[in-house]
Amino acid sequence: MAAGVGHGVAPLAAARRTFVGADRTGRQRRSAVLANKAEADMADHSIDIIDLEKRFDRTQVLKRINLHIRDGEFLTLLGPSGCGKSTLLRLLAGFEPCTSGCILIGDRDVSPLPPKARNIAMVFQSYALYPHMSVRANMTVPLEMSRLSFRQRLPGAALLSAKVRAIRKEITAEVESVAKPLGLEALLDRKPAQLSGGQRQRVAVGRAMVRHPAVFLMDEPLSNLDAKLRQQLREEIVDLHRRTGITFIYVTHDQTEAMAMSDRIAVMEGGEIRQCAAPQEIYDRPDYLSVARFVGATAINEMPALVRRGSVSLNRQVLEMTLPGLADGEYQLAVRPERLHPAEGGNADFSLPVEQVEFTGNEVGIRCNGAEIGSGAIRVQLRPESFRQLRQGRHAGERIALRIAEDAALIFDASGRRVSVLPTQPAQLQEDRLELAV
Amino acid sequence: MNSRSDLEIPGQVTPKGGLSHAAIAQAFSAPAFILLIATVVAPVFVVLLISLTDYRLGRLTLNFIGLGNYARMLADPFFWGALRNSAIYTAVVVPVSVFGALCLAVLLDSRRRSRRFYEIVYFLPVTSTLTAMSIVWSYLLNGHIGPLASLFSTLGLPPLDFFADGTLALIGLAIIGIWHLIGFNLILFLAGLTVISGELKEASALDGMDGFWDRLRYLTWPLLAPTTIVVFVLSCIQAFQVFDTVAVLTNGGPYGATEMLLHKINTDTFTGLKAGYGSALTVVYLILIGAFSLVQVAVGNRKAHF
Ligand SMILES: Nc1ncnc2c1ncn2[C@@H]1O[C@H](COP(=O)(O)OP(=O)(O)O)[C@@H](O)[C@H]1O
Ligand SMILES: [Mg+2]
Repeated sequence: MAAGVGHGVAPLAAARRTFVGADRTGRQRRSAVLANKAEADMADHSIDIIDLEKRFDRTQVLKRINLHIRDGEFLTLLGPSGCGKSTLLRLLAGFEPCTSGCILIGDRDVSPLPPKARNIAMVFQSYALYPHMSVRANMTVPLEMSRLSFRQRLPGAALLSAKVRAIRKEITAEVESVAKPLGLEALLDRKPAQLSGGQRQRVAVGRAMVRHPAVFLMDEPLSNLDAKLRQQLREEIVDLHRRTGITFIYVTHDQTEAMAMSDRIAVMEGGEIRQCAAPQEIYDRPDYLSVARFVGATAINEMPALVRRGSVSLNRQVLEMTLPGLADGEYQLAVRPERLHPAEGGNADFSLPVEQVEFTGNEVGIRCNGAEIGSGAIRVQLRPESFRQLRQGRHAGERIALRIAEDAALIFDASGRRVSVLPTQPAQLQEDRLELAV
Repeated sequence: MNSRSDLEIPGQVTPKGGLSHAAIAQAFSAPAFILLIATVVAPVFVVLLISLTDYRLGRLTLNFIGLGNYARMLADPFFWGALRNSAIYTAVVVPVSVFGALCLAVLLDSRRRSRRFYEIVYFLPVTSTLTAMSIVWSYLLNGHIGPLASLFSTLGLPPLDFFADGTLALIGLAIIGIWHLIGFNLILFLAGLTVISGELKEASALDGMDGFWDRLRYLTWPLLAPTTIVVFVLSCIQAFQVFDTVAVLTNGGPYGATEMLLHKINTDTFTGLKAGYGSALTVVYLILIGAFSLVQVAVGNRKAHF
C-alpha cells in the first residue's frame, strides 16, 4: 500500500498552507509560490492550485481551493457526489474557465491555455472513446493532432511527403509500444462497441498515455465496472503510476479506493477541501467529523460527550481518560470500531448490551445498543481469536465491557471541527513534536 | 413446451378449437395488415392498372392500351422538361438545405441559452402553411413592389422579377424550398448531435481537435453520418414532391420553366382529365421516390456500426 509514503508529508503540506497565508492577495501569493519554486528544482510537474473559485451563474461550486500537488504524486480527490470533484478536475483540464484564482503546473500559469496546450491527459468516467474509430485510431489520433499540421493530416498527404510517412510510422510504433503493456495489442482493430467495460477502460488509459502527459487526470474511472474488475484495475493503475512516475489526480467517491491507491487524499465537501493528508492520517486524525464519517469501511462510532474540568463523561458515565485544557462543554467523541477493545478486569469505560454479532472471516463485527451512553448503535470490530476468547462460556445478548484504546478518541466541537487537545501521554506528545520538526 | 408455458399467465390454458399461437397472432395483426393493403398497396396497384388504359376522368368506359401511355410520355417534351426541372430543383435545394442545416446545427449545439430561440426561429417555416407563405414570398421577391425591388432600385440596379424570368423563377422556388426545408433538417441534425456527449467533446478538445474544421472532420461528421444519410434522402423526397409553391406562384410558368413532375401529374390528371396518362406519370414518380428510399436502406445498412 502506498499509504506509508506520505508519513512526514502532512506537516509539510500544512506548512505550505500556512505559508500561503490567508491575508495576502492572490497575485502576491502566486509570485511568492513562484519565487519559492525557483529555489527548488525546476523541471517538475507539481501543481499549485491557488484560491481557485468556480461559480455557475449564482451557485458557488468551488470555494477558495488551495492545494499543492507534488511532482509524481498520486493524489485522490475524495468526496460525496456533487461536492465539486469533477468540476475541479475540469478546471484543471481547462474545459471550464475559473471564476477566480489560478492554476500553476510546474511554474507555468495554465489558466489562459486551452486544454490541449496544458500537457494533461484525462480518463473520463464514461471513457469517452471515439465510437467510430478503432482502438488503434483512438490511440493514434492524439499523436496525429499534436505532431502533424492541418495540411499534413489531409488525406493523401502521406503519399506525397516522405516526412509525413516517417512521422506516421513513428506514431504507429509508439501506439504499439503503449498498447503492449496494457494488453491491448489483440484489440487494436476493434471498435469500442466490441469491447468489454474493462477493455474500454484500458483503451481510455492507453489513449491518455500515448502523449506522455505531465499530469494524468482520472474521473471515477472504475465506477462503471463490477467489484472484481475494479479491484484488479485498481492495482493496474497503481502499477502504472509507479512505472511512469507521472503526477496522478484521481477522483472517486469510494473511500476504499482512495485509501488503497493514494499517496495523499484531499477530502472534499460542499466545494471545499476539508483535509488533505496521507490516507493513514486521514483515517486516524480526521480534521472534521464529516471526514471521519466519510472515511472508513465501517461507520465510526459517535458519542455525545460532556467535558467538565478535564473529565469526560458519556451520559453521566465518567471515562478513564482526561482532557486537561479543554474548555467545558458538549463535544462529540468519535472512536473507530477497531479501537474499542473488550475490557478485562476493572478498566472498562462502559459496558453495553450486544445486539448482533457478524462474522466476516478475518474479523468479527459486534453491534451494541448505545442508548445507555446516549448514542446510537456502537460497532466494535475484533479479530476472530480475541472474539473466541471473549465468547468462552458466554452467550449473545449479554453485555460487553468496552475500553477506548489509548490515543483513539477523537474529540469534535459543536461545529464538527476536531479539537486538537489529545488525551495523550507526555511521551506521545514529544514524538508528535519531533514529527512536526522534520 | 416448458418455456412457452413459462411465458403464459398462470391459470390461462391453451385456447381450444385448434387455434395455434401463430393464428392468434395473425388475427391480431390483421387489422393493421388490411389497412396497409387498403391504403397503400391497393391504390398503387390501381394506379398501375389505370396507367395501362386510356381512362379519362368522368368517362364510364376505358380501353386497355398496353404501354401506350408510357410511349407517349417518352415522346412528350413537357414530361422531360418537368423531370429536368424537378432534378435541377432537387440538386439545388438538397445540398444547400442539408449542408446549411449541418453547419447551423454545429453552431447552435455550442450555444446554451440562445439555442431554444434559434431552434424555434428555424423551425417556424416548417410549421407554417406553405401555400399561405408562398404569397408572402411572392411579395418579397416581386420585381416591382417588394422590399427586394426597393433594395435594387436604391442601389440603382435594374429590377429583378423572379417569377417573370424562366431561370430566376426556378431559383426563386428553390429559395423558398430551402427556407422551408432547412429548419426540419436542422432539428434532425440537432437530434443526431446528442450522440456526441459532453465528455466526448472534452476528450477531443484535450486531444487537440478543438478547431471547427478538425472537430467537424474527426468527430462531428463521422458521428453524424447515419443522420446525414437519413436527412439527405428525406430532403430528396421532399424536394421531388414540390407542389404548393409551383401551384400558387408560377403554375409551371413562365412557358413551362418551373413545371415540376408532381405539378404536371396534377395538371394532366385533374385539369386535362387524362387519368390514364397521369397514372403513368405517377408510376414514374413512385419509382423515383422508391429508388431514393432504396438508396437510404442500402447505404444505411452499410454504415459504420458503433
Ligand atoms: N455546467 C454546470 N452548470 C451548473 N451547475 C453545475 C455545472 N456543472 C456542475 N454543476 C454543479 O456543481 C456541483 C458539483 O458538480 P460535480 O463537480 O460534477 O460533482 P462531483 O463530480 O463531485 O459529483 C453540482 O451541484 C452540480 O449541480
Ligand atoms: Mg463527478
